[in-house]
Amino acid sequence: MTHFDLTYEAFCEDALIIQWPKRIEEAILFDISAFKIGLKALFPSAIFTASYNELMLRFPESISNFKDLIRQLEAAYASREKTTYKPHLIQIPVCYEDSFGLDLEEVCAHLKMDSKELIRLHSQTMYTVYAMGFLPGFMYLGGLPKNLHHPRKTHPRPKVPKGAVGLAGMQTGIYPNESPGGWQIIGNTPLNLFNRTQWPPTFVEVGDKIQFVPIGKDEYNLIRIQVETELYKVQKKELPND
Amino acid sequence: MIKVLKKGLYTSIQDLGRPHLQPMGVPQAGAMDREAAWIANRVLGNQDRDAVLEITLLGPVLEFNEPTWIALSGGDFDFFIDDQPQAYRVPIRISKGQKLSWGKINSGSRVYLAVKGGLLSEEILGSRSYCPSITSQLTLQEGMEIPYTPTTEIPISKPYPSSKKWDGTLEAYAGPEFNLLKHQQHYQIESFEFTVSHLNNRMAYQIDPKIASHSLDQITVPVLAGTVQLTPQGTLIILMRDGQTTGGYPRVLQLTKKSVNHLAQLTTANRFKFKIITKF
Repeated sequence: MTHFDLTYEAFCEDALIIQWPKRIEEAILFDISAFKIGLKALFPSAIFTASYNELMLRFPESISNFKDLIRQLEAAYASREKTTYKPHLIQIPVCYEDSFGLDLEEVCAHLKMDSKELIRLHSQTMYTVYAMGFLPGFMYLGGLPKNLHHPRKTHPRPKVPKGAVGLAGMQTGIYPNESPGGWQIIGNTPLNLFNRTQWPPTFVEVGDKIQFVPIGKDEYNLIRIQVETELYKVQKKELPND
Repeated sequence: MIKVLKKGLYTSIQDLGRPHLQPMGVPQAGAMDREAAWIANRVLGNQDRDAVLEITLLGPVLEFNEPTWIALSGGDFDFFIDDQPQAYRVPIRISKGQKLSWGKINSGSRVYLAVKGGLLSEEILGSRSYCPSITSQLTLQEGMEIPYTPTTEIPISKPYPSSKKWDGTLEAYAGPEFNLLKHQQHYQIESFEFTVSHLNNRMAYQIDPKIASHSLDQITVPVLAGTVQLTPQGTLIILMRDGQTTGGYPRVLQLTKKSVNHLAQLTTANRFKFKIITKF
């Protein structure tokens, strides 16, 4: 197990950040996830927000002694057991057909490939959830193949539909709710990425892996009904850590 | 029930928000001026987490359909119960059918109205706070009714410290990316007098003038209310309670908790200076 050089820094009265080297790297993200699991047991009332190369710890009260806390964290990192983090693979069905892939034709023309090839490339990749933010349930996904990198739209849409799957620069992602946005829309998922009426409201967490599964329109409609009647079970399995 | 006769400029229901959902990308929400909301609840002997009304500049006209006690705190806007002027930070007895209305704004931009026992509106994901993409509405609407438990019992106030007059500075810690800035930018942040731009709301306050631009790359990182971000063009944006949970701009400062509350009382064209204080 790699030990990284971490820096610990007071953020404000009740929060502290732990920083890993400033690189986008799966080994770093998984190290954050592994450390987070250990710290959750040590500080059950703290809130842990992870992203790319940082972990923020927020406590319900002001931190009385940062030096002591940092010493405790350093000791926890140094002495942690060889817990290998095992990410979960979550399969997300996506319909890439015309009424959903609003920009599919344009994107294919720009990338000089047919839609079959684009769908194959987009859905064969396992993406990594590096952060959540922007909107509730929005995932920052890493791992988009280079030949799918595509600039944002010059004029953002005032309304991108809920569940829209898009491309923007070196990123791909899903709009968990209707929102304005400039991503190139290539498909739509029938799943609710964020459901405020259930607990937990999202089935994803930073450190998970995501794979898109192409589906047809009939299957989309069927899954949509299953989701609305709460019969749908999200496909989630533990992956071996390599 | 409180019946909303006129909705005012921007009135919402707020409590302590949803900090536990930050890892899922949910804005924390909650009262912009935490201390003022806390005091309004203390005056009535309420719980800290009880929901209150957050009133922005132009207040709503409200009718109380059952007896209760209320208390107001925060900015200083003249207000009346059935046309009788009332005081801040004291329990006010309300009889069935009484109306609350507003007069001139003397200072501040947000007032909190607590009701004995708290407002009992719908709870979503552990909080009653209105918040974009979580609650179906963001402000009170005319004709709406907000439930509470009627009571005539005299409230027993809980003590709270008296607050000092604000001296025009916002205290802040150096943010994680502060040291990546140039001397010129450090100097500008510490010496400029800043003005709140018209782009100020529950999500963020943009301030003028700009400082020197930068071309720093920033990986997406966690942010909180009071995080001061610097855009590549040199604009400083202070995130507030309904702000995003992660950001892609350098975090140059982090306001103290007290200063986030002070900022919540500022509005367009108000001026302030930053004062950087040492970290712990």
